[in-house]
Amino acid sequence: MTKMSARMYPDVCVLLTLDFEQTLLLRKCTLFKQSIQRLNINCYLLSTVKKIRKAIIEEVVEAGGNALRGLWFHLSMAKGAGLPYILENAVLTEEDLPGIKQFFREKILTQQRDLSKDQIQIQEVWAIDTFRNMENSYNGRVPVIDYLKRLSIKHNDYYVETKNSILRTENDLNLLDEEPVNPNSVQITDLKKALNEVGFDDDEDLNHISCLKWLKQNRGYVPVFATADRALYECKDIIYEHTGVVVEDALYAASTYKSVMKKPWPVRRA
Amino acid sequence: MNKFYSESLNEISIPKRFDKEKLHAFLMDALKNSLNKDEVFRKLIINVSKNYPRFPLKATQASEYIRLLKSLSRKVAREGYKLNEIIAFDSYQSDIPYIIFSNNTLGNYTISYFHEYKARATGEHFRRNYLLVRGRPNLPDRKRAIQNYFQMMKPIQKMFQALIKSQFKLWLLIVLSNSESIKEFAKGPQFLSLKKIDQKQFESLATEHSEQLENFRRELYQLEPDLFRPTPDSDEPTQTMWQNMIMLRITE
Repeated sequence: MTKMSARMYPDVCVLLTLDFEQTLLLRKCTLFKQSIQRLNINCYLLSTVKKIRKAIIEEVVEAGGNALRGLWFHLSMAKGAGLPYILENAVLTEEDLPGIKQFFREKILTQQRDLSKDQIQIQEVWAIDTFRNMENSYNGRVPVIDYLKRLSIKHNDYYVETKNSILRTENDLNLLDEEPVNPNSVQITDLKKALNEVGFDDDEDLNHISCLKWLKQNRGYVPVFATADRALYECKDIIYEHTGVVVEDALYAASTYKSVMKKPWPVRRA
Repeated sequence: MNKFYSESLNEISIPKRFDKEKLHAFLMDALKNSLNKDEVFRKLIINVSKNYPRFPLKATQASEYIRLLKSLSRKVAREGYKLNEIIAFDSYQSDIPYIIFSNNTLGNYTISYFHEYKARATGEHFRRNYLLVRGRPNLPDRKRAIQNYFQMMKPIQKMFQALIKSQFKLWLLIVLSNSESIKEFAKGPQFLSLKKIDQKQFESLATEHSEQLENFRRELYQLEPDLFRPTPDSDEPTQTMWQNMIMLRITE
């Protein structure tokens, strides 16, 4: 089967989360994947989006890591002793759990960004879950250092799994790297204003749209922005009006792309 | 390892209180001591070297080499897990960005993936091109099979060497900068402070490691995607996290 000449730019925000999403969204992404494979459409990953995604993952790791370091300090203080005591003797019991809970609650309040708050919430669950898993083996008296070590291993393993998941997804979709596009090279002030009026202000999506507009204008591509994000999808008319970029639900993106391709389009510029 | 240590030490600028030659001698001694302590590992390394594919290679030797690479791969995975436990502990006693420790863990996993790949790819190559060849052994074909094996492994092996060197250099810089003497370096500093590290060099080595790791993992994925398979089940909070990431805001 001959490959189509025009291209589609999937919403990486959705694509990279394939392995962990809710069943409903996971199914949606699988259907999207199957559609583009069936139609043999080339998918490109914008380098801009790739960089942003990397920065986000690192920020999440950092927020979680700092929370763990804070927990170490909190437990050292709670046990009323310095490091050597903690290393050799300190144990956690059921009585320490309210203090741990309080620590995480305070930590969440100090976070600026929702994503970091989410990460710390996860760590709180891990903290309790890990204690419950360990308490039977240690007769309810869990060595602090083993406990903290296990939490840190879990956090790092989570990072490893995230990175593996990204590789799997990029490969499943046969994503190719596109030329780097600076999202600031195209003015989308009017679009931003119009979207702000309806309460949409996701900078990542706006950068993405800006890149797609540039590629459409300068390379003659036919971009279709496939998304599972409801908020973005509901703004599709405004986005099309200001940029000519088609936003489509991931479920229908491939067929929309196909129907768009049937229309006569100007020859792609060199 | 002699060359590996020399090159690594020459490629970074170490604190003036350390002498490169003494440090090199110390690293070599530490390696010898650890091999002497671990008899099983020492024998494994010797046997891998003994059965290394060289023409003329007996079929029994080829089979033994494959078996040893599998044992080595399991050993590397176990040691990687132990190292990750140490990293997990060190990460608490430090103000260095946490991502450095996470990337180190990712590096150790990747090193163990590579050894698993090497064992699998070697087994497959020699079974197809060497062990299953029927009839009278055709010597030129067997010679070619060995040559092809090295050609096949060369690019990924080269990338692997670059990765472990960048990981080692970064670790060396962090630990040396936080140690006052070789004795403290050997024991491991109590606290790993970012302030004590030359920032320019640290950033450059951290970027180099991160890039080498990313490139190597992409290459390895193309060769053996099965190694990057998902863990049996991701727990509920992790799922929630990713669900929230869909609705992500870069800036709030």
